[in-house]
Amino acid sequence: MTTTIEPAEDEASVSSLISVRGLGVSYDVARTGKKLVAIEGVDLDVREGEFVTVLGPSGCGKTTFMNVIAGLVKPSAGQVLVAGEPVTGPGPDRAVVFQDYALLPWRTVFDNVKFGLEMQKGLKGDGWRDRVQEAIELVGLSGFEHSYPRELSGGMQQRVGLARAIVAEPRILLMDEPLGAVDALTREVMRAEIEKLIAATGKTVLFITHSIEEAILLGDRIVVFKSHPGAIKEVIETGLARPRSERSIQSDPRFLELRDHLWDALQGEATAAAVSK
Amino acid sequence: MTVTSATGTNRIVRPRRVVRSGEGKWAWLLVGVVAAVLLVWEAAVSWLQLVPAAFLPPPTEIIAAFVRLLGEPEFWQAFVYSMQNLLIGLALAIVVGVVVGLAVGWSPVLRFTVAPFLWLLYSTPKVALAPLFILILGLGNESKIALVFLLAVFPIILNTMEGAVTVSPSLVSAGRVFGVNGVYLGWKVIFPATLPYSLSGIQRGAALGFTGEVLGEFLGGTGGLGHLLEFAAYQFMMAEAIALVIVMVIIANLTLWLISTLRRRLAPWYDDRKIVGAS
Amino acid sequence: MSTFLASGPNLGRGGIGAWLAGLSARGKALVLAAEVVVMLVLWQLVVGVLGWINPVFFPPPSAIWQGFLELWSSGVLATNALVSLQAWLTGFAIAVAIGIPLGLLMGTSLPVDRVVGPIAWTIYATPTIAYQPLAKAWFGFGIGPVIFLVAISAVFPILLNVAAGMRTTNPSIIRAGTVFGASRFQLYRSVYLPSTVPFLFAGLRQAVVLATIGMVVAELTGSAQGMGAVIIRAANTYQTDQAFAAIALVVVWSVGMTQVVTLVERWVAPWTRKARR
Repeated sequence: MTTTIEPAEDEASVSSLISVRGLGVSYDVARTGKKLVAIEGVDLDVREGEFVTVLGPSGCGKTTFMNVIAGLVKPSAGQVLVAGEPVTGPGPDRAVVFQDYALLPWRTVFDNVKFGLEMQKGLKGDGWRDRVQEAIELVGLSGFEHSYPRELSGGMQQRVGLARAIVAEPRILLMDEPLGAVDALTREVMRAEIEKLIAATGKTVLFITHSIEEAILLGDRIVVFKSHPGAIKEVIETGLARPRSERSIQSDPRFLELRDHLWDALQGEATAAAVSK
Repeated sequence: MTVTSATGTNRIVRPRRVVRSGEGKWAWLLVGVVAAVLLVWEAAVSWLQLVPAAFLPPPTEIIAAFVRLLGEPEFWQAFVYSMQNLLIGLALAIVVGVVVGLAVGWSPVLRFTVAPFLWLLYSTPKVALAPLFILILGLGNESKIALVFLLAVFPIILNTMEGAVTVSPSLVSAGRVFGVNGVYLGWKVIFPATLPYSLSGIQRGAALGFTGEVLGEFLGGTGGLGHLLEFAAYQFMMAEAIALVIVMVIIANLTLWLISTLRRRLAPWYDDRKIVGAS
Repeated sequence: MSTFLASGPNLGRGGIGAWLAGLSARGKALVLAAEVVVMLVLWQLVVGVLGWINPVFFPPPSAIWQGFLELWSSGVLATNALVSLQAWLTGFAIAVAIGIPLGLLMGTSLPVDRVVGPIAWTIYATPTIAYQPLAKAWFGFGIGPVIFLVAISAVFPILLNVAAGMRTTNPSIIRAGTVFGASRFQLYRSVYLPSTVPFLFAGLRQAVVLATIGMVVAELTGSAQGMGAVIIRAANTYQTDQAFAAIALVVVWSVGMTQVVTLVERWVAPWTRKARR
């Protein structure tokens, strides 16, 4: 392994938007009376406007990690600060894009996107219509406002999920394997669109994935998780210029280097997981 | 969100009892509530006399009547009479229903020519035909067996047919790739894949067949549990009547449980929620 | 209705099966209509013209039509149909008025679900005909026992479907609602209730069929008025043509009400319509 892959420097927590300190989550298993440790001892700082990808094998606790930041799961140790305030529950500064889209089947595209505003800020005045419309246009769904989710393809449904997340203008976007359920071709197209969208809106993003390519293509930094128990294995600065076109980057030596490194890291994890079972 | 079943409606399935810690307390709560209701009932009728006991006898009287009933040979005669008709009718319905269901599900031509009429007959409230059956077949066992058969056979046909239609094409292809064909393919692939659907139909058919038997006994003849119940209610022997209703509730639930158990035993791979539930 | 129009297992056959499978929706409807006509003609021929079956036992279509006209002109039909209609509608309304609120309560409160659920399933599993003699003893010989049987037949499918709908609300949609800051009440109104709607209508459709069976059973076994009473009187006097005409009307009612429920569902819950792409 070459020495060019250096651990990213620790940021000072003052300048970071999200700051995770000594985070641990464990569950009581009622049947056996034992404790199941999902994640343990996680420290991480995310700057405003940064795109952080979280990479790890399935079952490594990366989704639990995201759920804590979203405010859906209470930590059993440590804490999460967002803009200096401890997270106690879901809030309008954070929005989530789900792997299974989680759209309301009884609402049209327009009303699904509206849902993001409705629940968080209420619908006062008339401005909200324009904002919903704007979000729909931003994800390229103009003309589908009155379609129901079941009438859309998986990729289009996830665009709705994306629009719903950005419509209330959160500072942080939490994305839980958002492209995990769409087909390979759509995934490539949407990766590029997500990158463009984030660049345009300047949001801070935590993007969970189990695809090495995706982690490198999208992230400013890559957080690699290990399992049993879930914890951060390493954090890597990608140092790749933006915008990153999928074609040109495939031959970039830095990309290849990162890919080999991450491949080895995950391979070790997968083997360890297989042995421990 | 929902899956259409053979009945054309989305059926729900009784939740399977999952033994988990914490579930036990709900059983106690249920027992407690039932006991409390019975106590209030007893109090209202026999102690406070808010309701005339002749109209609604107290639980103790019903239990006494129930015990008395179990000791009477006439009750057991009636029980055997009803069960015999029910079982014969149901057995006929199962044989005919599964064969016809498989044939219609299997053949596109039959599905197109016969299935619409089966569908029409399925959605007809066939209980209305009961008087005609008695007219044609008389007051004896024959009319009751025929009624049980008529009411039970359609759900079995339609569920089996649905099972045969929904056998995954890839399953059939897999069978053909391995050189399985014709009757053997039907026996080895289509029949087992259809079995859980048929059992669903049999479950529904058993309940409807029970309706047929009891209705037949209400309308004519002098045998069976239905006749005993009708007679008790007519004589205004309410404790006996309610005890007989409880017997029927037990029979119906026992049958249902038996068939679900059978289904779990014969087709453990099959998940009821897959056909009838919602995801 | 879609089962027999489904393509079924692909058995690689040709001929008439393939031809039928290849027909358009309109073509299939035409073939079906032709089949119905052929069936009616055959029936008329076998019973009415050739006399192979005793027409008293199985009257031909022309005789049933005659029977219908007799019932109509004598005024028997109008009075009795009105009685049945009244009993059916009253019983069904009672079932809806009890079933929906109790089902919602079961879906909301776990203790209620665990107490009412097993009791409801036990009663529901028993054919309602078992309760008929009790109803007769308690409510006399008029319309009372008919209403009782209709109501008790219809209430459980409604109740249990609504409860099941509340309980099986997609957890990922609930999570999405929580993330976007929905309050308990908002979650109830925007997530739980709409996702229960398809279940409610499924329950109503089952309830229509069961209520009709309950009505006929009650009227057959001890009511001086109503369609069931017409059927049994006609049968006892060997006027089977009239009996069949009355049965046909009950069938039309049952099928018609099911269609009404489906139409209301399409109007109230357009998102449940099957996707046609």
